[in-house]
This record gives sequence, C-alpha cells and structure tokens, in this order.
Amino acid sequence: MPFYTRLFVKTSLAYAVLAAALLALTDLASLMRWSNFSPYQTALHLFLVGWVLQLIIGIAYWMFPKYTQARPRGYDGLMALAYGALNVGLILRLVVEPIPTFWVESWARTVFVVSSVAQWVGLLAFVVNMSLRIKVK
Amino acid sequence: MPRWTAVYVVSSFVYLLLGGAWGAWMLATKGQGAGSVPWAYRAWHVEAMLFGWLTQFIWGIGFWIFPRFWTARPRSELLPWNWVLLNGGLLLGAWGVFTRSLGMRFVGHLGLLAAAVLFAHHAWPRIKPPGA
Repeated sequence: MPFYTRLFVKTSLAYAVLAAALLALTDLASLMRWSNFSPYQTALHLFLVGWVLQLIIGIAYWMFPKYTQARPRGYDGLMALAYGALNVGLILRLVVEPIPTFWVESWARTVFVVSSVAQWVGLLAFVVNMSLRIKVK
Repeated sequence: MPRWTAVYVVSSFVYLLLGGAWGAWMLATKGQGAGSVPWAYRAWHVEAMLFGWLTQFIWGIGFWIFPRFWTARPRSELLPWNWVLLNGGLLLGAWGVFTRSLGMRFVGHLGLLAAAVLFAHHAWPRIKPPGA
C-alpha cells in the first residue's frame, strides 16, 4: 500500500474508535443529565468524515487508474493538503462542538468557521487529485 | 474504469463538493439557531452526502470491481436508468426540500427507492463465489 493509503486508512480506524467512544459518551451524558455536553453530531461526523470518508480516500488513492507514468497517483501535495485540512477541521470541531455553551462565544464561532473551511478545502483537494485519475478504458 | 463508473464517480464528486459546502455553511453558523438559512434546509445536506456522494460513489465502484461473468457485466444496460433515477430522485428531493413540498420530496424518494432496487437487481448475480 502507498504511504497516503496507509496514512488515511490508519487514521480512519482511529476515528472509528473515537466516534464509537463519543457515541457511548452521548448516552452517558444523557444518563447522567450532563446538559452542557452534547457530542452526538460530533460523533456522527467523526464517523462519516473521519472514518467512512477517509477510508474511501485512502482506498481510492490506491486503486484508481494511474495519472501518468511519472506521477502515477497524481499530485501528492494535494493529498497532503486533503489529509491536513480534513483532520485539522475535524479536530477543531471536536474541541468546540460538544459543548453548547461555547457556541455563543466569538472565539468558538471563529473556530467553527476555520473548521468548516478547512474541511471543505480538504474535500476539494481530494476531488481535484482524484478527478485527474478518472480514465475510461 | 468503465464509462459508467466514470459518470457515477464524477457525479458523486459534484455532490461531495456541493453537499460538503452546505455542511460547512451549517457548521460555520453553528449556534445561530435552527432558523438560520443552512439549518432550515439541513435535509438536503444529509441526502446529498448519503445518496448523492456516498451511495453514488459506491455504486460506481461496485459496477467496476464486482466479479464479472468471463468479461461481461450482466444487466449493465440498467446502469444509465439507475443513474437517471438516482440523480432525478435527488434533484426532485432537493426541489422538495427547498420549496418545502412534501409531495415533491416523496416523488424524489421514490426515485431513490427505484434506483436502489435497480442497482441491487444489477449487482445480485455478480456477488458470487470464485469460478461460479
């Protein structure tokens, strides 16, 4: 497996564990009536973006047709950007989103904006690199 | 990759970017209440990401890599109809979300249902043991 495949797949496995843990914490928060802790949406996105999407990115990077002989997997800089931006965005989200009292703070709103832009830039970098490798045979 | 895989993958990428942009807008406006514009139409984000991106990508790749019968992909003539039903259903569903028309959403979801049935019908015989 190429480097970025290993990186994305191992990271995705870690997110699967984290998402499941956060889901369990969601139930615990309800049972214990922790009204200031609400991690359900964060858990969902750690599952769908952190686990499912990053697993797909890693495997697609490995399996898609080669771009050129010189650059068989496209531009690795784009994959580095995809990895960094998606994960910075997810981690920022994880810091702020589960605690609703943060949401009205101006610093937290800034974190939400940075997180959302980072995640979308990560998606764009992945799409651009993989679009180069879509080849009909 | 086969032509229809390329079509499905490109379409799924379009939904990934559009649905992802809507989700990013929702996240950026977190805490402004359910009445803010992106949150009022969150159903579109969910459907774009789950059906437009994830399902469409998986179906495209499945058509490519599932086992073949010698070299043939049986029932592959269904793929264009499947694509039309899936993307037509998504568009009608989106129209229903943005115009708050439950009837239109229902028609869109029937399109997704028909597409799912059609893809299962295509893929079923290709899920087989080695050499079968």
